[in-house]
Amino acid sequence: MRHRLISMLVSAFAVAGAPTTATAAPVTFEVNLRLPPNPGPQYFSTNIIRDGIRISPNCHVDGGATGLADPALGFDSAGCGSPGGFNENFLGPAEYRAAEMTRVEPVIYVDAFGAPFALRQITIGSIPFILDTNRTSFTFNSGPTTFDFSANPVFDPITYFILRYRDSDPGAPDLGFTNLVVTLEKVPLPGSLLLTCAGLIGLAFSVRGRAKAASGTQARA
Amino acid sequence: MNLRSAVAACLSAVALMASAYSHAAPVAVDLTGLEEFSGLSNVFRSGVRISPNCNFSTDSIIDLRPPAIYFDAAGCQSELGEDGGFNRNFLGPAQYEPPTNDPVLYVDAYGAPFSLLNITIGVVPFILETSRDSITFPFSGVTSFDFSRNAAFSDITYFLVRYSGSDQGAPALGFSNVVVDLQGKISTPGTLGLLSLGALAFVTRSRIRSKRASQTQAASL
Repeated sequence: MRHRLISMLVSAFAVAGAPTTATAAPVTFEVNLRLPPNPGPQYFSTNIIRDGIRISPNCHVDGGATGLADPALGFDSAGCGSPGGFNENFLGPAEYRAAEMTRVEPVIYVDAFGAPFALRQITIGSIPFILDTNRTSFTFNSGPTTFDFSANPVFDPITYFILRYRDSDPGAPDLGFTNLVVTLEKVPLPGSLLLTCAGLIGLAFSVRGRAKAASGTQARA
Repeated sequence: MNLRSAVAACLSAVALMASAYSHAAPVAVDLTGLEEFSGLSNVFRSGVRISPNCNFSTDSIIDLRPPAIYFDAAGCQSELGEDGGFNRNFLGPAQYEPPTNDPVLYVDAYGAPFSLLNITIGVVPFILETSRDSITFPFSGVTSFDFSRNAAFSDITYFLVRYSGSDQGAPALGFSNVVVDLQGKISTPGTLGLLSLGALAFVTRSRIRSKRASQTQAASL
């Protein structure tokens, strides 16, 4: 019984506590930026997870941005100073965290659950912007521009990037991005391999427990 | 052949001889075969002029996908230096006139406005200067830009690339994959112009014939 209990505990641990990342070959893909249906307003003051990428506005994210073809994500500070107008669970640096009834510089933060990733391509528009990463910062003066960083090591690897307005935002999503292509070193998965291993360990314990129980019964007999 | 027929024929001949401006699609600037140039001269390709103030080369210590063109200031202090020299027919802004330690590669469309749609630049930090704006890209690495929807790079009369820092005396900066829209200012056989002149000639001939017919009628009366 004790061994069966252990095997159950191991299985439970595997299901509940297994890491959500599994090592996989690097994979390059375009992140799906279509927002989920929202019965309320067409913006989200929450974090959004897409294809293993976390997208976190400090205020809100809009399902479109000026001058960018859909699917695109835009952002601004409209309503950010009112309750429900900002993201209480913002994932980026504390300096950009919004607090109730305070107007902040709107940003949109993107990471891969803390794992390193490479920013390969991105189209950013439509007004002057600043692109910060954990490694560098870059100011661009104008318009929708597609950047191909696939041969630029400055963006490989990074652990996050932040897009923000160079000048004050106009209260409309005049800045945003689309065509986001990244390479993930570690792909967030349900951890199938780990679960399988844990299940096998559990099974082994179970078999050993039964065998021991059977031998104990035999010895008693 | 009477005078009017001769005029019509001449018009057609002029149309054939003269190249005319017609609307053009984006043009990928042909950077192949530049090895045959000395590197100290201007190069005319695909409707644009490429002008180094110092010298250009097609070999480099960096890795742009060929065909590419590179430049540096090696030997730029003298017209015919041991390691190069400068271009005494430099076409760009006066402040970059050689001799100089600030090497640039200047591109224009014979003074006509054009749009820079795509360019790949690498590998050390650079400044991309146009007649309208200046962008400093502070990163090492090869980066491709798609400016096709960026108004700051349309209706420019020139662009030039130069080192953000000082160059090392070796061609560590250059560009490839240059796509421009010459906005109807490209010299082509001028199909529309030819059609118009052909129509003009046809109308002239018809008028001559009808006039001649009416004169013959009048004479017969």
